[in-house]
Amino acid sequence: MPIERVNKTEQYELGTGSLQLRAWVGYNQFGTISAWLNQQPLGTANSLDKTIGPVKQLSGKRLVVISTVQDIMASTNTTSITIELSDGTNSKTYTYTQAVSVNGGAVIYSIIINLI
Amino acid sequence: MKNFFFCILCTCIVRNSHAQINITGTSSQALPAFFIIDKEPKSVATPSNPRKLAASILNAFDQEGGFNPDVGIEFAPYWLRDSSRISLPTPNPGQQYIPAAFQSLAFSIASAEEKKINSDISGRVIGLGFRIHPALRINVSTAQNVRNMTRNGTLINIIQFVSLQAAFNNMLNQNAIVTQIRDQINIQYATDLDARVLYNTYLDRMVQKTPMTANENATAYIQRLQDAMVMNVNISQEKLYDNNSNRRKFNWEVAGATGMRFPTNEIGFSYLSRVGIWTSVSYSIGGNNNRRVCSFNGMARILSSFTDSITTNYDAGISFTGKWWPSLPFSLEFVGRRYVYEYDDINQAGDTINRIDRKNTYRLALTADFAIDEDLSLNFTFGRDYDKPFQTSGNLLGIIGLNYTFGTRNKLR
Repeated sequence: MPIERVNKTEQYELGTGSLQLRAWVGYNQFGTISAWLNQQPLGTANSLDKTIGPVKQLSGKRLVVISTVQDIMASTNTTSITIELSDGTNSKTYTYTQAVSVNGGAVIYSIIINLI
Repeated sequence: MKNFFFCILCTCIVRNSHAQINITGTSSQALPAFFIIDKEPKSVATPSNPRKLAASILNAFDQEGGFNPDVGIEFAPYWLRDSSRISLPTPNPGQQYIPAAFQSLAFSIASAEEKKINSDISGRVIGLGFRIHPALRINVSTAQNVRNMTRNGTLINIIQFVSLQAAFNNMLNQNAIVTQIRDQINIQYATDLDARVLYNTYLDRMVQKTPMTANENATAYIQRLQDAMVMNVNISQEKLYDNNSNRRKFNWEVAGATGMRFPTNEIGFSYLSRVGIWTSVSYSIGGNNNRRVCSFNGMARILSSFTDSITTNYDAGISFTGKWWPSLPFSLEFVGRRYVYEYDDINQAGDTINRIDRKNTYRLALTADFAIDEDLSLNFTFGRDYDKPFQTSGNLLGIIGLNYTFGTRNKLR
């Protein structure tokens, strides 16, 4: 079975306060989201809601969010993942969708977010 | 490891029945094809793909084209499909359960030897059956289901992360990649020994099945490893269905089967010998760790046998199975039976007539199984069996058996 792969690199401009990461997969989809800050794992869950830390310590670091999503919506064959970053000053939402070629197909999303 | 059983019958009834149907009890039968021909399978093949199914069917025939005896096959068509085409049925928004009756449909084939009394000719009897769980439904939101589906996904995520690291750090060989993956598993699950063992074992198995080839770069290899793991995510769906059906308190099964006789083991000389359809329901009351300690069972069935006479049984029964304590499981069973027996006879005027006998009878039995130790158990059945013509030596039912199992003792304690 082919696995679709979505690779993206994004930038997030850090503000002040603490950086909050939220991520979830689309409705009726099985998915596991894992996140790393540089090489340190931040956690794995079906949906993440994580305070990463004070932004002043994060500048120049790389946030990696990887999700394996399996679509169970036979009618749409589309998977999606949403990543939401927010701090006291800025917030940004990244949404990605990818069609799968067969029912129940899987997509691996690899999102690298450079914190600047 | 082989298990051997032997049984001592201290008192027993003679089962030389007048009618052809000897099937008793209320329990749901795992293999309808063997149930209808009233035989016990020596081995049952459960092929999981079309190639294995074809091989199993070919094995059912001997070199001369006859049927091998005691061959059993059971397969579920839904799960024979290419795993890439299998996906969970689509739940509607807000729906907690998805019906899964079709996924439970299974067909069975059975073959057994049948020797005629005072004859060297051995024939075969072939059974064809089906069973389905009409009320089976899958709870898509249980933690167990999600875990089954996502555990592999977690490992894929880790490997994908290592894939990115490999690209950054120019990792070239399999050992470096696998070490990185293992390190990430151990870091991510530092406090979860079960997960560490599970993922490391799974990783070893997948790496063994999918080794890095010469001239393959790290990214291509990792992608191949991930592809192999996604295949296993699909396979885990079948386990999800099994888990759901095995853990349910309420079970309803409908099954049917037909038996064909081949008296000379030739395709051209055969006849339909038995037809039956039955349904059973059971409701279990749980104990600790989902081990049911007692269950209520109900059954209804119609079984017909066609030989030189026609016998039709209409059965309905209930039973209760439980445990007084762990070493003494028991069951109490009642089955009411109405049989209709049609056969050629001669009346007082000397005319040939089709005589029809109708009679009601019942069976009431208590069965217990006392575990003396791990390998030795004593079981007994006591009660009242069906009236004649089903039993020819009275209807007292008394069987005591000794059951010993060789070869199951663990070597390490």
